[in-house]
Amino acid sequence: MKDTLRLFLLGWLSVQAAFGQSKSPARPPTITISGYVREAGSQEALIGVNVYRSGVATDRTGAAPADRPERRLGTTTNTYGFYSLTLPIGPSASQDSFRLVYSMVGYDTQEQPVSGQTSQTLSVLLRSGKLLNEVVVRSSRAEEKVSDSPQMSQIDIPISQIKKIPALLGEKDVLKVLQLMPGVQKGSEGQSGIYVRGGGPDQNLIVLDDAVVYNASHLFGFFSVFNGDALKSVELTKGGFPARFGGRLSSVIDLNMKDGNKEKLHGEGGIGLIASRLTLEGPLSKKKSGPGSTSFLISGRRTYLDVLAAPIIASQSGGNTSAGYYFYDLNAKINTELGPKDKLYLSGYFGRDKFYAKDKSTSTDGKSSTSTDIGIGWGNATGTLRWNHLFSDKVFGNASLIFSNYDFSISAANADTYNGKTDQFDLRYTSGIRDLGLKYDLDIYPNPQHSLRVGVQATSHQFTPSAVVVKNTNLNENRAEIDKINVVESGVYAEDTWKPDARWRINGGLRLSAFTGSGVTYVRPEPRLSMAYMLRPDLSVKASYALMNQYVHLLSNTGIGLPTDLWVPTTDRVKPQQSQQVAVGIAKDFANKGLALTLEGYYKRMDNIINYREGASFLLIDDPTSARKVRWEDNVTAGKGWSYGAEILLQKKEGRFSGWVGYTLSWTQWQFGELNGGRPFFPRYDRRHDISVVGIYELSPKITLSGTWVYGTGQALTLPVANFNAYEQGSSSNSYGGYGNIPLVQQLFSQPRQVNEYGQKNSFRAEPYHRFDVAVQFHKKMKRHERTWEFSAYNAYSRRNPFFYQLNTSYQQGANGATATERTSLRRYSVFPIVPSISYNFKF
Amino acid sequence: MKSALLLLLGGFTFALLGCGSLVQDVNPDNLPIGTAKLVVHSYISPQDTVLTVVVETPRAVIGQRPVSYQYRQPLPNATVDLSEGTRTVRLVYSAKDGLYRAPIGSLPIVAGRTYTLTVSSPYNYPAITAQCTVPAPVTPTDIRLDSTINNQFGQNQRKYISRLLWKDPAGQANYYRVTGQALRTQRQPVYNSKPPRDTVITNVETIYFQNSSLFSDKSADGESFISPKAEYSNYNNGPSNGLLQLRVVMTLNALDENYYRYHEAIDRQNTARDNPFAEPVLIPSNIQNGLGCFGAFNQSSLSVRVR
Repeated sequence: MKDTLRLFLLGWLSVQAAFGQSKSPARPPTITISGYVREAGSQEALIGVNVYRSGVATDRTGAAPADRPERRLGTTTNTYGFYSLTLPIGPSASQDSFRLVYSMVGYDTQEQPVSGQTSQTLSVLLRSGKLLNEVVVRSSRAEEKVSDSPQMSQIDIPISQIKKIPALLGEKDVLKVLQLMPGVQKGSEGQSGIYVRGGGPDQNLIVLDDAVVYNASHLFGFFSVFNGDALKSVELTKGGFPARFGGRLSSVIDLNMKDGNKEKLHGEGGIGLIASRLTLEGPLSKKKSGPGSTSFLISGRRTYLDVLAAPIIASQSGGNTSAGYYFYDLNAKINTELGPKDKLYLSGYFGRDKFYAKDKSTSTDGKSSTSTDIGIGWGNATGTLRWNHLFSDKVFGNASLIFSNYDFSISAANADTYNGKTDQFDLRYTSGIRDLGLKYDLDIYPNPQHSLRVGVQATSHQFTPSAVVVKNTNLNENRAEIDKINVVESGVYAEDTWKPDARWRINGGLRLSAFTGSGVTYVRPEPRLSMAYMLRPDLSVKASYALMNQYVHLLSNTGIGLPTDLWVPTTDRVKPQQSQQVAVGIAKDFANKGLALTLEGYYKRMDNIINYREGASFLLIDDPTSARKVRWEDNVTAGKGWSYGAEILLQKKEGRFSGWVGYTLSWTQWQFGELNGGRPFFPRYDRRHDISVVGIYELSPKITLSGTWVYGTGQALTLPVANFNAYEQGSSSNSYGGYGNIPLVQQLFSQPRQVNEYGQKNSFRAEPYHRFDVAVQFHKKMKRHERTWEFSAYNAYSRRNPFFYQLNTSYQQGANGATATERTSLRRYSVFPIVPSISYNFKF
Repeated sequence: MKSALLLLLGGFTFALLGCGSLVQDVNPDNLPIGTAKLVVHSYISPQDTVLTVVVETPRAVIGQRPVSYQYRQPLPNATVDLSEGTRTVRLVYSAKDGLYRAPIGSLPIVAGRTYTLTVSSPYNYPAITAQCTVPAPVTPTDIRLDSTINNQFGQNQRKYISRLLWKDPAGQANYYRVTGQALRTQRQPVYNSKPPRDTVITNVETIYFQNSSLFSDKSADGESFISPKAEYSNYNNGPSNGLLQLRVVMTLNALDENYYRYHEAIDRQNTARDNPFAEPVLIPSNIQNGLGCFGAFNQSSLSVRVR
C-alpha cells in the first residue's frame, strides 16, 4: 500500500515537473476575483456556472481561431455557487480592464466588466434563459464545451428538461431520465433501479445534499424517491471518478436540493393520477440577499390511491376492514447567511411507503372479538447541516454533519377477546441501516492553472440486518432478538484540476479509504486520474482511470427495488468490493449547431462482488415468522466481473428543439466459483445494445411536445431446457421412498425426484425491450400563476415488454376416452400496456 | 395544437386496438426445447451386492404430452460398460426393474480405485463417459443417545434422539452422508393362524434427520463432526405393546465429491423450487456429454441398543 502511495505521488510530481519546465520561472503579479453566482429573481445559488475572462484571442463573434485552442482562463462555480479566479495582470493598459463572462445552460450569458488591478468580490445574478425567444442560436457557444473539461463519463441533465420528458403516470422521475443516457440502463419495466457500465444497483452512490440515500425507490421501484420540484441539480458520474467521490464501484449520483427563493414566495405543484405535490419556497427575512438573509423550501408529495379506495373497502366490509397503500415524500431546507463569509444550510428528506390492512370482527352476542392489524412500511430519512466558510478569496470550506436512515418493518398485531379476557400477539420485524457522518471539504483556487480540493470524511454505519420483537400473552412469551453491527467508514482525499497549458486538462487525485468494524480493518489507496487533450478548440481526446472500493453491500436478488433489499457491511468473510475502470473518449462540440458529441469506450473490472448462492434468496435469510437466525454470509458468494463497451451520445441541451440520442454497445460477464460451475456467464442485466432517443420540441410558447423511444437487448435469464429423473442412493436414506416400513432388502435407488436442467446459467435471452412515450404540455400564463396541462402516453404503441417469465402447465381432458394431456408453455408477464395519463401543474 | 391532439387521439386508438392480454404464451419456436443428452445414474460401493446403472432420457419442458406418461422412462438397448484398470464388465438390462445390472463379483469395488463408466445407445444421443474414485471409509466414533417423553393426544410418546460422531481425517477433502435405521424387535400376534399365536419380528424403519444429512469438511478439515439429531418415535409406549428390543443403526457414508455435489444441489433445487425470488440452482454433473451422476460411497456403521 505504501508503495502505491509513493508511486502515485512520484508520478504526479514528475508530470507536474515535466510541464513545469516549459513555464517561465518568474510568475507575473495576479489579482483574484471571487464571489457567488445566483439566479436572478430567486437568489438560488447556481452550480457549475462557467466563469472566464473574455478571451483576448477570440475574434468579434466570440469564436476562437479554428486550429489552435485558446488559452482561456476560467473556472466553474462549486456546489454552493462560489467561484474564485486568479488572473495574471500584465503591464499593458489593455489588460487593466477586462470582462468576465458567466454562462450556463438555460441562463442568459452575462459579461461583467472588471477594472483596476486589485482583487475584488464580484457576485453576479444570471437570468433564466427564455428558450422560446432564442430562435437565433448564438454563433458561439464556446462556454459550454464538453471538450473543454478533463472530466469524462459524466452526465448532467437540467431539471427543467426532466420536467418535459414523458413519464409513467405523469410522475416525473429523475432516475428514470438518467436511465435514458448511454452507459446507464434500467432494470425491469418501469423500475427506477440503475445499472451503470455493467454494475448493479447496489454499486451506485446516491447522494442528496451530502447524505446517502439507501433505498431510492417507492412502490417496489416503480417510482424513485426524488421529487423534481425540490431539486436544483442532478449529476451522474459513471467513470473517471474524481477523488472526492468514493464508496461505490459504479457510479455517483449527486443530487442537490434547491436552497429556497430569497426574494419572494414562490410555489409549484401538480395534481396527477396517482399523486399530488406542492412546493413552497420563500424568504424568511426582510433582507433579500447578503448577511442576515434567510430562506426556506418545503416540498411534499403523496399518493392517494388509499384515500380513494377507503370508502369502497369500508362499505364492502361493513366498516370492519380497511386496507391500502400510500407513499409520501417531504423535502425541507432552510438556509441563512450568517455573515459575508459564513452560510448555514439545513436540509432534510423524509419519505415512507406503507401498506396496511386492519380487520375487526365481533361475534353476534358481543362476547368475543378479534382484531388484526398488519403493516409493512419502509422509508428513508436524511438530514444535513452544512456550514460554508470563506477563509479567503481563494479558499472555500464546507463542513457537513450528515444523518441518514433507512428502515423496513413488518408488524402484525392480533388481539382475541373472549369474555373480557384478551390474548395479545405482537410481532415486529425490522431491518435497516443508520449513518452518522462528518465531512470537511476545502476548495482551493491558488491560480488559474490549479484548482485543488481536499477533504476528510468519516461515517459511522449502524446495520440492523434483522430485529425481531415478539410478544405473546397467551404463551407468556416476550422476546426481542436484535442484531446490530457498528462499523466506521472513512476517507481522506486530495485532487487537483490542472491546466498546464492551453491544450491539457488534467484532474489527478488520491483517495485513501478506510473501513473498520465487524472484526476487520481495511485501508486502501484509490488513485484517480482523468486527462483531456484538446486537438482543436472544439475537439478533445480524453482518458481516465479510477480505482474504487465498496465496503457496504446490498443483498438483492430480484433486480427489483424491493424494500427487503438489505444493506450489510464488509466482514471477516465478505471482503470489500473493488473496481478498476479505464475509459478513453472523444468529445466534440459543434458550436454553431449547439450540439455536443461524446464517444467513449471503457473497460471495467470488478473484484469480490457478491451475489446470492444458487438456491438462496432473502426469503430464506430473514423469515420473520420463524425468526430463525441465519448468518447472511452463508447465503452469498463472491466472484469477479468485467464489463466493456462503447457509448455514443449526441446531445442538444437548448433551443426550440432539444434532446439527445444515445447508443451503448456493451458486454458484461461474471465469474463466481460457486455459480454456473465456475464458468463465466452473462449476468441478468448484460445488455448488448441499448438505444435511447429523447426529443423535446417547443412548438409554440404555449405548447411543448416531447417523446422518447428506447430499445434494449433482453435480459439474460435462466430457464429450464429439460427435466429429468434424478436417482439418489437408495436404502435407508432420509429421502423419498422411505415412508413406512421398508423391506429388509436395501433399495438400490431412491424414488427419483424430478429436477430441472438449465444448461448454462442465464443462457436464455428475454425478448428485446422497446417502448415509445409521448407527451404534450399546454402552458398558459394566468393572472397570478402559470398552469400546464400535460397529456401523456407511456408505451404508446403498447408493446408487451417482458417483466418476467414463468412456466405454465395446463391439463386437458381427453375427449371420448382419449388420454388426458398436459401442455407446458412459457408465459410472458407484462406490466404496462399503453398507460395514458393527465396531470395539471401550476407555478406562482 | 390541433395536430398534437390528433396525434394523441390516433395514438390512443391504435394502442387500444392493439390491446391484448398482459399475459401471453411465448412462441415455442423461439425457445430451446429439450436437450439431447443421456441421463445416467450409478452409485458404487464396496458394501453393495450388485452393480447397477439407470439410463434414461430427459423430457422437454415446453410442449404437450399425455398425462399418463410413464414416470420412469428407462432406456433399454444401451451399451453400458464399467471398467477399472484393464477389467471391464458389461451390464445387462433387466426389464423387471429397468436397471442395467452385473454381479458384484464381476468387478470388485475397492476403496482408492478409479472406475470408468461408459454408456452409448443406438439412438441419437452422444455417448457418455464418467469417472469416480471410491473413498476410504471413515469409522464413526460414537452414537450419542437421548430421549424425551411427550404426551400427544393423550398418549405417551417416547422420542429417541440419536446423533453420530466422527473425526474427519485431516489433510484431504472429505464428504459424508449420515443415514440411520431403527430396528424394532417385537412380539406380534399372528391372527390368521389357528390357534392364534405370537411371533417375533423385526421391523426396519428409516430414521429422519432434522437438517441435511450431507456434510463437507470444507472449512472444518480434521475436526470432529456431530450429525444433526435423528429422531425416532415409539408410539404405544405402554407395557403391552410387545416391544422386545429397539436398536439404532447409524451409518457414516464416506462419499466422493461427485456424489456430494450432486445430492447437495438436488436438495437445494428442491428447497428453492417454490420460491420465485430464489436464484435457480444448476445441477452439476460428472457425466461427460450427459446428465446425472456417477458416484461412490463407502459405509461404516455403529449400532446401539436403545431398549
